[in-house]
Amino acid sequence: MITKTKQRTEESKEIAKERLKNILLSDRINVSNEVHEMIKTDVVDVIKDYFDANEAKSEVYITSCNEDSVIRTSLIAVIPINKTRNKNKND
Amino acid sequence: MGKTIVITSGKGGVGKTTTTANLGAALAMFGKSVVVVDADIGLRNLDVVMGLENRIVYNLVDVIEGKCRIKQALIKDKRYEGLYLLAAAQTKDKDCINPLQMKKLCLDLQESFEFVLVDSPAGIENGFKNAIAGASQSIIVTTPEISAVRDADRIIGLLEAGGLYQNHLLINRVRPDLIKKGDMMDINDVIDILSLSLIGVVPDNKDIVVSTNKGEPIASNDKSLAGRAFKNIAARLMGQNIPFLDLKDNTSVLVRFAEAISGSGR
Repeated sequence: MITKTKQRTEESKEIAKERLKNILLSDRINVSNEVHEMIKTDVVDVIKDYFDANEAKSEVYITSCNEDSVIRTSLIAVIPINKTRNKNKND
Repeated sequence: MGKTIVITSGKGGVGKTTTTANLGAALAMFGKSVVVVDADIGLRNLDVVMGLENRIVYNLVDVIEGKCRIKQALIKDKRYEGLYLLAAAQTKDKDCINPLQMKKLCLDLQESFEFVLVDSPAGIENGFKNAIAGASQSIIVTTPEISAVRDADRIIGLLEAGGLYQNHLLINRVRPDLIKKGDMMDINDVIDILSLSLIGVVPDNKDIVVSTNKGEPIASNDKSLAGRAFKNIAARLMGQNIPFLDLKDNTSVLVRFAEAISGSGR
């Protein structure tokens, strides 16, 4: 029982650290609009090599979601594709 | 020519004003000429913490608006040779001065004082921008709590964006008993997360409450661990290399005991 109590109390600082790291990760990742646009352009450019991507309708988001009570920050890109390019045929 | 150091935090209630008052008193005790400036216009408090609230005639806004000369607005703290206060206005608001005016004021003060300590308001709006305008260094006050550390992180980003790179961390209200139990983040946890150079650690201490009640800076009380912590920080600001205090309870009791014995001979 002593060990149990000890474990429980030890957790509270660790919980705080873990939460704080996640909060700061998402705080710090809030990039300026300029950088945001640059990321979007670069990502779409890469995709364009493979697909006929619709750049005007593309969007890039940086979001945090709660996964098993751990906050995960991810970059989500939505890039509509007009039609697939068959590279082999064109070559 | 002195230097301007802003004491800031982002979050309110972490001890900026207490820190400013005590560092001012401690630096003066070391023989430095110091002016503490309350930049929290509309919510002035530094005068109260220092116990000088009854002596204010002119304030910072009066100086900036040209209603008086700087010297007329400086309140001499008679207890500490070389310590002066420039109070904030209570009836105006934060938008009645701008960063350029504040910068000029700090430069003017630097001509007569070795240290200009600016007590910043909480928040990141105009009051904060005014407070950091004239500073070349900062002390970021935080406590080992998530919300305070988060705000400190944001403030570091804003200071760097404003061209201030000499930023030091002061961790206030540290409770060694809670750290020992694993219920409070310890000093290294906070430093790791913020990656900032540490200038001092101040224990959570009832002496501070008592000294604030009386309007007497705790830095003059060598029996108080918090008081000695502030004095050490002041010495570090003067460029001295002072080891960090061991805040553990048993140490403080031993130190007090030793001091009580050595003090009994007086």
